[in-house]
Amino acid sequence: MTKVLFIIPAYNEEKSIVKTVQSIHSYNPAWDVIVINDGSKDDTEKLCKAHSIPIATLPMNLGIGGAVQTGYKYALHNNYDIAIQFDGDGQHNIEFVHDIIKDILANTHDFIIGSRFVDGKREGFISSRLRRIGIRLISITIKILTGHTITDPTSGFRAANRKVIQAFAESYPIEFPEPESVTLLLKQEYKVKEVPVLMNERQGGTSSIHTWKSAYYMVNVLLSLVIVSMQKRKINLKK
Amino acid sequence: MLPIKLIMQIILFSGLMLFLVVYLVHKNLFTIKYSLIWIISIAGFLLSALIPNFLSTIQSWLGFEVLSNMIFAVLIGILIFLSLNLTVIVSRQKENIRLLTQEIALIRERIDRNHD
Repeated sequence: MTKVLFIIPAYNEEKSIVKTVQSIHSYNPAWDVIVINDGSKDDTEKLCKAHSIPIATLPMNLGIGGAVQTGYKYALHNNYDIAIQFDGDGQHNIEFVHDIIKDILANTHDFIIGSRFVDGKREGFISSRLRRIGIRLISITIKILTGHTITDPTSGFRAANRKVIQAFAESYPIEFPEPESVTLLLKQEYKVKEVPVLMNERQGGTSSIHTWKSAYYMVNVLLSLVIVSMQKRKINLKK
Repeated sequence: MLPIKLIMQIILFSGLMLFLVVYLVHKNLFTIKYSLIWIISIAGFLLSALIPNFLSTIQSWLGFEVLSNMIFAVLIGILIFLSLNLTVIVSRQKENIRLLTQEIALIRERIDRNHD
């Protein structure tokens, strides 16, 4: 049987974390979860323990990249076949998990991203206009650097097969993990695909991207994508 | 040859810097590995001032009109190099801290699981 793990990074998600995990378990009890508590200051850890939810608590805040990588390491150590990144704030919808893992189960792809924009659809929660422009810019940059179109490079709703789990456990970008990781995979010729998903507005917590910092953020992201795409050779040697 | 007063000051300054670095190493606030780069910088500074005509030869060689300009330029260069060096050290440490933090979280999770 295919072992499936949900990696749920959580930073101060006490309002939504239990509901999120329950939605997964009631959808398919065979699926496992690991909450990566990224140094939360609220009761995230206590609540998870009270509900017997597996939780790994980072003794200090590492940011989303460091937290997600911890999940991939956990997936590798415990021999999972598929790892799904799933937000703890209720943004991601369990109904779409089936679409996301379909091509991994069929062995045709290594990494699937749940995209809000793949069909040019404008349904569900698609975030602010400014943020959409930013996403578009990142998308164009990735197209230039890798030749592949990724419409939603900042989406944190993703699934990885064993090969990618291994690669991410070994090395995972931490500055701007979502766009950088997909750029790395594309550069290394992993088979990446996007499938359409609808997202909800977050229930609790706050986005890790603040509007007033966004210009600075954009410059940084684009620069780091260029740098990451030049690292190809080094990482291939490691493989 | 630099004026004798200036040479005295340079020796005094270098001596103080050297003392400070050795003191910091002695107090374990500095590892020997990282003190080397400072000691080499100080030694270079001292030697360049003590060797007669060394600085003025390089000055005419590089085309600086005023000696002090060259000294400033060299010192700024050394400082840039030192701060780059520090950035490398900090980045490496950040990486190490991340790895340790993740390991601790994973090990703690395993311990908790075995206890239940």
